[in-house]
Amino acid sequence: MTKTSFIGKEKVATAISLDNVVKRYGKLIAVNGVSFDVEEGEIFGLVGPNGAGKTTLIELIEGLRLSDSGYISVFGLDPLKDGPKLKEIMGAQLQATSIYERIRVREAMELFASFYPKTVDIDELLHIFSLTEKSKSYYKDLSGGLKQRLAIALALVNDPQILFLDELTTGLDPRARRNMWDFIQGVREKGKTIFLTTHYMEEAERLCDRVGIMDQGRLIALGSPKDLIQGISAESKISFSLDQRIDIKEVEYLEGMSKLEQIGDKLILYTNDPGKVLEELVTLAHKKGWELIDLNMEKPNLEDVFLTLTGKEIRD
Amino acid sequence: MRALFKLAITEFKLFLREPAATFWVIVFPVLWMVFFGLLYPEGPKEYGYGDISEAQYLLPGGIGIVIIAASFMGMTINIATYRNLGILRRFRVTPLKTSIFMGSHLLNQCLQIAVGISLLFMAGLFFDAGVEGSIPELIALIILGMLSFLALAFALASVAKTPRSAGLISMLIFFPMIFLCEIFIPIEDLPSWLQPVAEVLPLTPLNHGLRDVILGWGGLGDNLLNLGILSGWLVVGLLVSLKWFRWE
Repeated sequence: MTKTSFIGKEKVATAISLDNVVKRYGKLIAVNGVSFDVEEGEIFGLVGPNGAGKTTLIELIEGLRLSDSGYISVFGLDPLKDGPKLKEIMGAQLQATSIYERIRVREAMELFASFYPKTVDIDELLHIFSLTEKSKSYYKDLSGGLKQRLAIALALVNDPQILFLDELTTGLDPRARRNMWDFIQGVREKGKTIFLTTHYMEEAERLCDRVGIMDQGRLIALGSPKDLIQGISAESKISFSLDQRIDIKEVEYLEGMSKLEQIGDKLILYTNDPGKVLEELVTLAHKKGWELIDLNMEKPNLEDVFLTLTGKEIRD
Repeated sequence: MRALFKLAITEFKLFLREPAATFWVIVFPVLWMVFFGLLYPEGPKEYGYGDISEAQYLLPGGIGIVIIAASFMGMTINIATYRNLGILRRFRVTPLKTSIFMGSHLLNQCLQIAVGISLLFMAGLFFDAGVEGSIPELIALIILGMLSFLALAFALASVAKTPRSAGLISMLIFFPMIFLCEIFIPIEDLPSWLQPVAEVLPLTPLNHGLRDVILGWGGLGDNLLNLGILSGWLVVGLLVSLKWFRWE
Protein backbone atom coordinates (compact mmCIF):
# COMPACT_ATOMS: atom_id res chain seq x y z
CA MET A 1 0.00 0.00 0.00
CA THR A 2 1.45 3.36 -1.03
CA LYS A 3 0.11 6.52 0.50
CA THR A 4 -0.45 9.57 -1.67
CA SER A 5 -0.65 13.22 -0.85
CA PHE A 6 -1.37 16.33 -2.88
CA ILE A 7 1.14 19.08 -3.31
CA GLY A 8 -0.28 21.85 -5.45
CA LYS A 9 -2.21 20.04 -8.16
CA GLU A 10 0.29 17.25 -8.58
CA LYS A 11 -0.31 13.87 -7.02
CA VAL A 12 2.85 12.63 -5.33
CA ALA A 13 3.44 9.17 -3.92
CA THR A 14 5.01 8.70 -0.50
CA ALA A 15 8.41 7.02 -0.69
CA ILE A 16 9.13 6.73 3.02
CA SER A 17 6.75 7.02 5.89
CA LEU A 18 7.88 7.10 9.53
CA ASP A 19 5.60 7.24 12.52
CA ASN A 20 6.92 7.60 16.06
CA VAL A 21 10.05 5.51 15.44
CA VAL A 22 12.08 4.69 18.56
CA LYS A 23 15.45 2.95 18.87
CA ARG A 24 17.28 2.45 22.16
CA TYR A 25 20.78 1.21 22.90
CA GLY A 26 20.63 0.35 26.56
CA LYS A 27 19.89 3.63 28.32
CA LEU A 28 20.68 5.78 25.30
CA ILE A 29 17.70 6.68 23.12
CA ALA A 30 19.33 7.01 19.70
CA VAL A 31 16.09 7.74 17.84
CA ASN A 32 13.35 9.22 19.95
CA GLY A 33 9.87 9.22 18.43
CA VAL A 34 10.63 10.44 14.92
CA SER A 35 7.78 10.89 12.41
CA PHE A 36 7.85 12.29 8.88
CA ASP A 37 7.19 11.39 5.24
CA VAL A 38 9.49 11.57 2.23
CA GLU A 39 7.89 12.05 -1.16
CA GLU A 40 8.79 10.22 -4.30
CA GLY A 41 11.37 12.03 -6.42
CA GLU A 42 12.69 14.39 -3.78
CA ILE A 43 16.13 14.68 -2.26
CA PHE A 44 15.56 14.52 1.45
CA GLY A 45 18.40 15.24 3.84
CA LEU A 46 18.75 14.30 7.46
CA VAL A 47 21.11 16.79 9.08
CA GLY A 48 22.51 17.32 12.52
CA PRO A 49 25.72 16.92 14.48
CA ASN A 50 27.55 13.63 14.90
CA GLY A 51 25.70 11.41 17.34
CA ALA A 52 22.31 13.01 16.61
CA GLY A 53 20.88 9.65 15.50
CA LYS A 54 21.01 10.15 11.71
CA THR A 55 22.87 6.95 10.91
CA THR A 56 20.75 4.89 13.28
CA LEU A 57 17.60 6.22 11.63
CA ILE A 58 18.80 5.60 8.05
CA GLU A 59 19.85 2.06 9.04
CA LEU A 60 16.43 1.41 10.56
CA ILE A 61 14.85 2.45 7.26
CA GLU A 62 17.28 0.26 5.29
CA GLY A 63 16.39 -2.71 7.46
CA LEU A 64 19.90 -3.09 8.89
CA ARG A 65 18.60 -2.51 12.41
CA LEU A 66 15.46 -3.37 14.30
CA SER A 67 13.42 -0.54 15.81
CA ASP A 68 12.02 -0.80 19.34
CA SER A 69 8.69 0.71 18.37
CA GLY A 70 6.97 2.78 15.71
CA TYR A 71 6.08 2.32 12.07
CA ILE A 72 8.43 2.39 9.06
CA SER A 73 7.37 1.91 5.46
CA VAL A 74 9.37 2.29 2.24
CA PHE A 75 7.18 2.30 -0.86
CA GLY A 76 4.63 0.40 1.20
CA LEU A 77 7.17 -2.23 2.28
CA ASP A 78 8.16 -3.08 5.85
CA PRO A 79 12.00 -3.04 5.95
CA LEU A 80 12.09 -6.18 8.09
CA LYS A 81 9.18 -8.32 6.95
CA ASP A 82 9.61 -7.40 3.27
CA GLY A 83 13.40 -7.15 3.46
CA PRO A 84 14.25 -9.16 0.34
CA LYS A 85 11.68 -7.29 -1.75
CA LEU A 86 12.78 -3.88 -0.46
CA LYS A 87 16.43 -4.67 -1.14
CA GLU A 88 15.60 -5.24 -4.79
CA ILE A 89 14.20 -1.72 -5.20
CA MET A 90 16.71 0.19 -3.05
CA GLY A 91 20.35 1.13 -3.35
CA ALA A 92 22.55 2.07 -0.41
CA GLN A 93 25.90 3.58 0.33
CA LEU A 94 26.82 2.88 3.94
CA GLN A 95 29.17 4.42 6.43
CA ALA A 96 32.07 2.31 7.73
CA THR A 97 31.93 -0.17 4.92
CA SER A 98 34.21 -1.32 2.15
CA ILE A 99 34.55 -3.88 -0.62
CA TYR A 100 37.35 -6.33 -1.38
CA GLU A 101 40.74 -4.62 -1.55
CA ARG A 102 41.91 -6.44 -4.67
CA ILE A 103 38.71 -6.41 -6.67
CA ARG A 104 38.77 -4.41 -9.90
CA VAL A 105 36.16 -1.69 -10.38
CA ARG A 106 34.35 -3.46 -13.18
CA GLU A 107 34.46 -6.81 -11.38
CA ALA A 108 32.81 -5.19 -8.36
CA MET A 109 30.04 -3.84 -10.58
CA GLU A 110 29.51 -7.25 -12.19
CA LEU A 111 29.49 -8.98 -8.80
CA PHE A 112 26.86 -6.67 -7.35
CA ALA A 113 24.83 -6.88 -10.55
CA SER A 114 24.67 -10.67 -10.13
CA PHE A 115 22.75 -10.21 -6.86
CA TYR A 116 19.74 -8.60 -8.59
CA PRO A 117 17.14 -9.88 -11.02
CA LYS A 118 17.07 -6.56 -12.92
CA THR A 119 20.13 -4.41 -13.61
CA VAL A 120 21.24 -1.47 -15.71
CA ASP A 121 24.05 -1.45 -18.26
CA ILE A 122 27.32 -1.52 -16.33
CA ASP A 123 29.42 0.29 -18.92
CA GLU A 124 26.92 3.12 -19.06
CA LEU A 125 26.96 3.43 -15.27
CA LEU A 126 30.77 3.48 -15.22
CA HIS A 127 30.66 6.16 -17.89
CA ILE A 128 28.16 8.33 -15.98
CA PHE A 129 30.40 8.29 -12.90
CA SER A 130 33.58 8.82 -14.96
CA LEU A 131 34.95 5.47 -13.84
CA THR A 132 35.48 3.94 -17.28
CA GLU A 133 39.21 4.64 -17.24
CA LYS A 134 39.50 3.12 -13.77
CA SER A 135 37.50 0.00 -14.56
CA LYS A 136 40.58 -2.21 -14.25
CA SER A 137 41.97 -0.58 -11.09
CA TYR A 138 41.94 -2.35 -7.75
CA TYR A 139 39.56 -0.89 -5.19
CA LYS A 140 42.43 -0.30 -2.75
CA ASP A 141 44.22 1.92 -5.27
CA LEU A 142 41.30 4.36 -5.73
CA SER A 143 41.28 7.80 -4.09
CA GLY A 144 38.64 8.61 -1.49
CA GLY A 145 36.54 10.48 -4.04
CA LEU A 146 36.68 7.63 -6.55
CA LYS A 147 35.77 5.09 -3.86
CA GLN A 148 32.68 7.13 -3.02
CA ARG A 149 31.77 7.44 -6.69
CA LEU A 150 32.06 3.68 -7.03
CA ALA A 151 29.91 3.33 -3.90
CA ILE A 152 27.10 5.28 -5.61
CA ALA A 153 27.56 3.41 -8.88
CA LEU A 154 27.28 0.09 -7.00
CA ALA A 155 24.16 1.33 -5.24
CA LEU A 156 22.59 2.15 -8.62
CA VAL A 157 23.40 -1.12 -10.37
CA ASN A 158 19.87 -2.45 -9.79
CA ASP A 159 18.20 0.75 -11.04
CA PRO A 160 16.65 1.36 -7.59
CA GLN A 161 13.61 3.51 -6.90
CA ILE A 162 15.25 4.91 -3.81
CA LEU A 163 18.89 5.67 -3.03
CA PHE A 164 20.24 5.92 0.53
CA LEU A 165 23.45 7.89 1.07
CA ASP A 166 24.96 8.00 4.56
CA GLU A 167 27.57 10.76 5.03
CA LEU A 168 28.63 10.33 1.42
CA THR A 169 31.00 13.28 1.28
CA THR A 170 32.60 13.01 4.72
CA GLY A 171 36.36 13.03 4.36
CA LEU A 172 36.33 14.33 0.79
CA ASP A 173 38.12 17.54 -0.16
CA PRO A 174 35.89 20.48 -1.18
CA ARG A 175 36.39 19.90 -4.89
CA ALA A 176 35.52 16.21 -4.73
CA ARG A 177 32.51 17.12 -2.60
CA ARG A 178 31.15 19.59 -5.17
CA ASN A 179 31.82 17.04 -7.85
CA MET A 180 29.74 14.53 -5.88
CA TRP A 181 26.84 17.00 -5.60
CA ASP A 182 26.67 17.15 -9.40
CA PHE A 183 26.49 13.38 -9.60
CA ILE A 184 23.68 13.29 -7.03
CA GLN A 185 21.74 15.96 -8.93
CA GLY A 186 22.17 13.79 -12.03
CA VAL A 187 20.71 10.78 -10.23
CA ARG A 188 17.71 12.81 -9.10
CA GLU A 189 17.04 13.92 -12.65
CA LYS A 190 16.47 10.25 -13.45
CA GLY A 191 13.45 10.45 -11.14
CA LYS A 192 14.90 8.61 -8.18
CA THR A 193 14.13 9.43 -4.58
CA ILE A 194 17.26 10.19 -2.58
CA PHE A 195 17.46 9.99 1.19
CA LEU A 196 20.76 11.21 2.60
CA THR A 197 22.39 12.12 5.86
CA THR A 198 25.06 14.77 6.25
CA HIS A 199 26.58 16.93 8.92
CA TYR A 200 27.59 19.53 6.34
CA MET A 201 24.84 22.14 6.45
CA GLU A 202 26.06 23.70 3.23
CA GLU A 203 25.64 20.38 1.47
CA ALA A 204 22.08 19.99 2.72
CA GLU A 205 21.24 23.54 1.66
CA ARG A 206 22.62 23.09 -1.86
CA LEU A 207 21.30 19.62 -2.52
CA CYS A 208 18.11 18.92 -0.62
CA ASP A 209 14.52 19.78 -1.45
CA ARG A 210 13.68 19.28 2.19
CA VAL A 211 15.70 18.63 5.28
CA GLY A 212 14.93 17.19 8.67
CA ILE A 213 17.16 18.52 11.45
CA MET A 214 17.98 16.03 14.19
CA ASP A 215 19.48 16.63 17.58
CA GLN A 216 19.86 14.07 20.37
CA GLY A 217 17.57 11.55 18.71
CA ARG A 218 14.74 13.96 18.02
CA LEU A 219 13.55 15.63 14.86
CA ILE A 220 13.62 19.33 15.77
CA ALA A 221 12.75 20.89 12.41
CA LEU A 222 11.43 19.82 9.03
CA GLY A 223 11.05 21.78 5.80
CA SER A 224 12.80 23.19 2.76
CA PRO A 225 16.14 24.88 3.57
CA LYS A 226 14.65 28.18 2.38
CA ASP A 227 11.58 27.98 4.61
CA LEU A 228 13.64 26.93 7.61
CA ILE A 229 16.03 29.83 7.16
CA GLN A 230 13.20 32.32 6.69
CA GLY A 231 11.47 30.82 9.70
CA ILE A 232 14.16 31.93 12.12
CA SER A 233 13.95 35.51 10.75
CA ALA A 234 17.70 35.91 11.02
CA GLU A 235 19.26 38.78 9.16
CA SER A 236 22.02 38.96 6.61
CA LYS A 237 25.39 40.25 7.80
CA ILE A 238 27.43 42.75 5.80
CA SER A 239 30.91 43.27 7.19
CA PHE A 240 33.66 45.58 5.94
CA SER A 241 36.47 47.82 7.02
CA LEU A 242 37.62 51.13 5.56
CA ASP A 243 40.96 52.59 4.57
CA GLN A 244 40.44 55.44 7.03
CA ARG A 245 39.00 56.09 10.46
CA ILE A 246 35.48 57.46 10.38
CA ASP A 247 32.86 58.41 12.87
CA ILE A 248 30.61 55.40 13.20
CA LYS A 249 27.59 57.71 13.14
CA GLU A 250 28.21 58.37 9.47
CA VAL A 251 26.95 54.92 8.49
CA GLU A 252 24.25 54.65 11.13
CA TYR A 253 21.42 55.85 8.95
CA LEU A 254 21.72 53.61 5.90
CA GLU A 255 18.29 52.69 4.61
CA GLY A 256 17.14 49.15 5.44
CA MET A 257 19.76 48.52 8.11
CA SER A 258 18.54 47.33 11.48
CA LYS A 259 21.68 47.10 13.59
CA LEU A 260 25.31 48.18 13.52
CA GLU A 261 28.24 46.61 15.33
CA GLN A 262 31.88 47.53 15.54
CA ILE A 263 34.56 44.97 16.28
CA GLY A 264 38.01 46.55 16.09
CA ASP A 265 38.38 47.98 12.59
CA LYS A 266 35.52 45.96 11.33
CA LEU A 267 31.98 47.24 10.94
CA ILE A 268 29.05 44.83 10.73
CA LEU A 269 25.63 45.77 9.41
CA TYR A 270 22.55 43.62 9.98
CA THR A 271 19.67 43.77 7.53
CA ASN A 272 16.74 41.97 5.95
CA ASP A 273 17.43 43.68 2.65
CA PRO A 274 21.12 43.14 1.94
CA GLY A 275 20.87 44.28 -1.70
CA LYS A 276 19.50 47.67 -0.75
CA VAL A 277 21.94 48.23 2.11
CA LEU A 278 24.90 47.21 -0.04
CA GLU A 279 23.86 49.68 -2.69
CA GLU A 280 23.49 52.47 -0.11
CA LEU A 281 26.83 51.63 1.42
CA VAL A 282 28.69 51.70 -1.89
CA THR A 283 27.07 55.01 -2.84
CA LEU A 284 27.95 56.53 0.52
CA ALA A 285 31.54 55.33 0.34
CA HIS A 286 31.88 56.77 -3.12
CA LYS A 287 30.50 60.12 -2.03
CA LYS A 288 32.81 60.31 0.98
CA GLY A 289 35.86 59.02 -0.82
CA TRP A 290 36.30 55.89 1.38
CA GLU A 291 37.76 52.70 0.09
CA LEU A 292 35.91 49.54 1.16
CA ILE A 293 38.22 46.76 2.27
CA ASP A 294 37.25 43.15 3.02
CA LEU A 295 33.64 43.63 2.03
CA ASN A 296 31.75 40.47 2.86
CA MET A 297 28.12 39.46 2.89
CA GLU A 298 26.77 36.45 4.77
CA LYS A 299 23.22 35.28 4.38
CA PRO A 300 21.67 33.29 7.22
CA ASN A 301 22.03 29.55 6.60
CA LEU A 302 21.06 26.22 8.08
CA GLU A 303 23.83 26.53 10.65
CA ASP A 304 22.01 29.58 11.99
CA VAL A 305 18.78 27.58 12.04
CA PHE A 306 20.46 24.91 14.15
CA LEU A 307 21.99 27.55 16.41
CA THR A 308 18.63 29.28 16.89
CA LEU A 309 16.79 26.03 17.63
CA THR A 310 19.32 24.43 19.97
CA GLY A 311 21.42 27.32 21.22
CA LYS A 312 24.60 25.54 20.16
CA GLU A 313 26.90 25.38 17.17
CA ILE A 314 26.56 22.31 14.95
CA ARG A 315 30.29 21.64 15.01
CA ASP A 316 31.63 20.32 18.25
CA MET B 1 22.27 -19.21 -8.96
CA ARG B 2 24.05 -16.50 -10.93
CA ALA B 3 25.09 -14.85 -7.65
CA LEU B 4 26.43 -18.16 -6.29
CA PHE B 5 28.84 -18.73 -9.18
CA LYS B 6 29.75 -15.08 -9.65
CA LEU B 7 30.67 -14.69 -5.99
CA ALA B 8 32.60 -18.00 -5.94
CA ILE B 9 34.60 -17.05 -9.04
CA THR B 10 35.27 -13.56 -7.70
CA GLU B 11 36.51 -15.05 -4.42
CA PHE B 12 38.76 -17.44 -6.33
CA LYS B 13 40.27 -14.57 -8.33
CA LEU B 14 40.89 -12.66 -5.09
CA PHE B 15 42.58 -15.77 -3.68
CA LEU B 16 44.96 -15.89 -6.65
CA ARG B 17 45.80 -12.20 -6.08
CA GLU B 18 46.78 -12.81 -2.46
CA PRO B 19 50.30 -14.31 -2.26
CA ALA B 20 50.05 -15.22 1.43
CA ALA B 21 46.93 -17.26 0.74
CA THR B 22 48.21 -18.99 -2.37
CA PHE B 23 51.43 -20.15 -0.72
CA TRP B 24 49.87 -22.81 1.50
CA VAL B 25 47.38 -24.09 -1.03
CA ILE B 26 49.26 -23.83 -4.33
CA VAL B 27 53.00 -23.68 -3.63
CA PHE B 28 53.32 -25.69 -0.45
CA PRO B 29 51.96 -29.05 -1.75
CA VAL B 30 54.48 -29.09 -4.57
CA LEU B 31 57.34 -28.18 -2.23
CA TRP B 32 56.19 -30.93 0.17
CA MET B 33 56.36 -33.58 -2.54
CA VAL B 34 59.62 -32.39 -4.07
CA PHE B 35 61.28 -32.03 -0.67
CA PHE B 36 60.49 -35.53 0.54
CA GLY B 37 61.01 -37.01 -2.91
CA LEU B 38 64.55 -35.65 -3.05
CA LEU B 39 65.24 -36.40 0.61
CA TYR B 40 64.53 -40.11 0.09
CA PRO B 41 65.56 -40.83 -3.49
CA GLU B 42 65.82 -44.63 -2.98
CA GLY B 43 62.44 -45.33 -4.55
CA PRO B 44 59.81 -47.84 -3.38
CA LYS B 45 60.69 -50.22 -0.60
CA GLU B 46 58.99 -52.76 1.65
CA TYR B 47 56.72 -50.70 3.94
CA GLY B 48 54.04 -52.40 5.95
CA TYR B 49 51.99 -54.32 3.44
CA GLY B 50 53.81 -53.62 0.18
CA ASP B 51 56.32 -51.65 -1.83
CA ILE B 52 55.77 -47.93 -1.38
CA SER B 53 57.96 -44.87 -1.73
CA GLU B 54 58.55 -42.36 1.04
CA ALA B 55 56.83 -39.69 -1.04
CA GLN B 56 53.77 -41.88 -1.40
CA TYR B 57 53.73 -42.46 2.36
CA LEU B 58 53.63 -38.69 2.86
CA LEU B 59 50.91 -38.02 0.27
CA PRO B 60 47.97 -38.25 2.76
CA GLY B 61 49.65 -35.73 5.06
CA GLY B 62 50.09 -33.34 2.14
CA ILE B 63 46.39 -33.61 1.28
CA GLY B 64 45.50 -32.94 4.91
CA ILE B 65 47.65 -29.83 5.04
CA VAL B 66 46.10 -28.42 1.84
CA ILE B 67 42.61 -28.94 3.26
CA ILE B 68 43.46 -27.41 6.64
CA ALA B 69 45.26 -24.46 5.04
CA ALA B 70 42.40 -23.64 2.68
CA SER B 71 39.81 -23.89 5.43
CA PHE B 72 41.34 -22.56 8.65
CA MET B 73 44.02 -20.29 7.21
CA GLY B 74 41.97 -19.26 4.17
CA MET B 75 38.25 -19.18 4.77
CA THR B 76 38.18 -18.40 8.50
CA ILE B 77 40.50 -15.43 8.23
CA ASN B 78 38.82 -14.16 5.03
CA ILE B 79 35.34 -14.11 6.47
CA ALA B 80 36.46 -12.56 9.76
CA THR B 81 38.34 -9.88 7.80
CA TYR B 82 35.39 -9.19 5.50
CA ARG B 83 33.17 -8.75 8.51
CA ASN B 84 35.66 -6.39 10.12
CA LEU B 85 36.01 -4.23 6.98
CA GLY B 86 32.23 -3.95 6.66
CA ILE B 87 32.17 -5.91 3.40
CA LEU B 88 29.54 -8.28 4.79
CA ARG B 89 27.51 -5.26 5.95
CA ARG B 90 27.50 -3.95 2.39
CA PHE B 91 26.18 -7.31 1.16
CA ARG B 92 23.39 -7.12 3.70
CA VAL B 93 21.72 -4.21 1.90
CA THR B 94 21.54 -6.32 -1.26
CA PRO B 95 19.20 -9.28 -1.81
CA LEU B 96 22.13 -11.74 -1.39
CA LYS B 97 20.98 -14.58 0.88
CA THR B 98 23.10 -16.04 3.68
CA SER B 99 22.82 -19.51 2.14
CA ILE B 100 24.14 -18.26 -1.22
CA PHE B 101 26.95 -16.43 0.52
CA MET B 102 27.96 -19.55 2.46
CA GLY B 103 27.57 -21.74 -0.61
CA SER B 104 29.79 -19.58 -2.76
CA HIS B 105 32.54 -19.55 -0.15
CA LEU B 106 32.31 -23.31 0.07
CA LEU B 107 32.51 -23.60 -3.70
CA ASN B 108 35.51 -21.30 -3.87
CA GLN B 109 37.40 -23.25 -1.20
CA CYS B 110 36.56 -26.57 -2.87
CA LEU B 111 38.03 -25.20 -6.08
CA GLN B 112 41.17 -24.11 -4.25
CA ILE B 113 41.55 -27.48 -2.57
CA ALA B 114 41.00 -29.29 -5.87
CA VAL B 115 43.79 -27.25 -7.46
CA GLY B 116 46.12 -27.82 -4.48
CA ILE B 117 45.55 -31.56 -4.38
CA SER B 118 45.90 -31.91 -8.16
CA LEU B 119 49.27 -30.16 -8.01
CA LEU B 120 50.31 -32.45 -5.16
CA PHE B 121 49.47 -35.55 -7.21
CA MET B 122 51.17 -34.18 -10.31
CA ALA B 123 54.36 -33.56 -8.32
CA GLY B 124 53.94 -37.03 -6.82
CA LEU B 125 54.13 -38.61 -10.29
CA PHE B 126 57.85 -37.82 -10.36
CA PHE B 127 58.48 -39.74 -7.16
CA ASP B 128 56.44 -42.93 -7.62
CA ALA B 129 53.72 -41.53 -5.38
CA GLY B 130 50.51 -42.86 -6.92
CA VAL B 131 47.28 -44.29 -5.54
CA GLU B 132 47.08 -48.04 -4.84
CA GLY B 133 43.41 -48.19 -3.82
CA SER B 134 40.17 -47.07 -5.50
CA ILE B 135 40.18 -43.57 -7.02
CA PRO B 136 36.40 -42.99 -6.57
CA GLU B 137 36.79 -43.94 -2.90
CA LEU B 138 39.69 -41.50 -2.60
CA ILE B 139 37.64 -38.70 -4.15
CA ALA B 140 34.66 -39.45 -1.91
CA LEU B 141 36.90 -39.34 1.16
CA ILE B 142 38.53 -36.08 0.10
CA ILE B 143 35.12 -34.51 -0.44
CA LEU B 144 33.89 -35.59 3.00
CA GLY B 145 37.08 -34.37 4.66
CA MET B 146 36.92 -31.09 2.81
CA LEU B 147 33.28 -30.45 3.79
CA SER B 148 33.97 -31.26 7.45
CA PHE B 149 36.93 -28.91 7.63
CA LEU B 150 35.16 -26.13 5.75
CA ALA B 151 32.11 -26.39 8.01
CA LEU B 152 34.38 -26.15 11.06
CA ALA B 153 36.27 -23.23 9.54
CA PHE B 154 33.02 -21.39 8.80
CA ALA B 155 31.90 -22.10 12.36
CA LEU B 156 35.10 -20.62 13.69
CA ALA B 157 34.66 -17.54 11.46
CA SER B 158 31.14 -17.21 12.87
CA VAL B 159 32.19 -17.18 16.51
CA ALA B 160 35.53 -15.31 16.27
CA LYS B 161 35.06 -11.67 17.19
CA THR B 162 37.94 -10.10 15.22
CA PRO B 163 40.26 -11.12 12.37
CA ARG B 164 43.09 -11.21 14.91
CA SER B 165 41.37 -13.69 17.15
CA ALA B 166 40.30 -15.73 14.11
CA GLY B 167 43.91 -15.83 12.93
CA LEU B 168 45.19 -16.78 16.35
CA ILE B 169 42.66 -19.56 16.86
CA SER B 170 43.39 -20.85 13.34
CA MET B 171 47.07 -21.09 14.20
CA LEU B 172 46.20 -22.85 17.44
CA ILE B 173 44.27 -25.40 15.41
CA PHE B 174 46.63 -25.71 12.45
CA PHE B 175 49.92 -26.48 14.19
CA PRO B 176 48.79 -28.83 16.98
CA MET B 177 46.73 -30.84 14.47
CA ILE B 178 49.72 -31.25 12.19
CA PHE B 179 51.79 -32.63 15.05
CA LEU B 180 49.06 -34.65 16.77
CA CYS B 181 47.36 -36.24 13.82
CA GLU B 182 50.03 -38.56 12.53
CA ILE B 183 51.38 -36.41 9.76
CA PHE B 184 54.87 -36.34 11.31
CA ILE B 185 54.59 -38.36 14.52
CA PRO B 186 52.79 -41.73 14.91
CA ILE B 187 50.00 -41.52 17.47
CA GLU B 188 51.56 -44.39 19.46
CA ASP B 189 54.56 -42.14 20.17
CA LEU B 190 52.43 -39.45 21.82
CA PRO B 191 51.97 -39.40 25.63
CA SER B 192 49.17 -41.82 26.47
CA TRP B 193 46.83 -39.09 27.80
CA LEU B 194 47.08 -37.25 24.47
CA GLN B 195 46.30 -40.25 22.30
CA PRO B 196 42.50 -40.26 22.73
CA VAL B 197 42.43 -36.50 21.96
CA ALA B 198 44.46 -37.05 18.82
CA GLU B 199 42.15 -39.88 17.74
CA VAL B 200 39.04 -37.66 17.57
CA LEU B 201 40.59 -34.53 16.06
CA PRO B 202 39.23 -34.40 12.51
CA LEU B 203 42.61 -34.63 10.83
CA THR B 204 43.37 -38.07 12.31
CA PRO B 205 40.40 -39.96 10.80
CA LEU B 206 40.95 -38.17 7.50
CA ASN B 207 44.63 -39.02 7.51
CA HIS B 208 44.01 -42.67 8.42
CA GLY B 209 41.38 -43.08 5.72
CA LEU B 210 43.54 -41.41 3.10
CA ARG B 211 46.53 -43.58 4.02
CA ASP B 212 44.50 -46.78 3.72
CA VAL B 213 43.17 -45.86 0.28
CA ILE B 214 46.36 -44.34 -1.14
CA LEU B 215 48.70 -47.08 0.12
CA GLY B 216 46.23 -49.83 -0.62
CA TRP B 217 45.98 -50.94 3.01
CA GLY B 218 42.18 -50.89 2.95
CA GLY B 219 39.02 -49.29 1.58
CA LEU B 220 36.27 -47.06 2.95
CA GLY B 221 34.56 -50.16 4.32
CA ASP B 222 37.47 -50.56 6.73
CA ASN B 223 37.15 -46.92 7.84
CA LEU B 224 33.54 -46.63 8.98
CA LEU B 225 34.52 -45.22 12.36
CA ASN B 226 36.75 -42.64 10.69
CA LEU B 227 33.95 -41.66 8.30
CA GLY B 228 31.63 -41.38 11.30
CA ILE B 229 33.96 -39.05 13.18
CA LEU B 230 34.39 -36.83 10.11
CA SER B 231 30.63 -36.69 9.56
CA GLY B 232 30.19 -35.79 13.22
CA TRP B 233 32.52 -32.81 12.82
CA LEU B 234 30.66 -31.79 9.67
CA VAL B 235 27.37 -31.68 11.58
CA VAL B 236 28.95 -29.75 14.48
CA GLY B 237 30.44 -27.21 12.06
CA LEU B 238 27.16 -26.70 10.22
CA LEU B 239 25.11 -26.31 13.38
CA VAL B 240 27.48 -23.77 14.89
CA SER B 241 27.66 -21.82 11.60
CA LEU B 242 23.91 -21.66 11.17
CA LYS B 243 23.36 -20.64 14.78
CA TRP B 244 26.14 -18.10 15.26
CA PHE B 245 26.98 -16.60 11.87
CA ARG B 246 26.77 -12.79 11.94
CA TRP B 247 27.02 -10.28 9.11
CA GLU B 248 28.46 -7.59 11.40
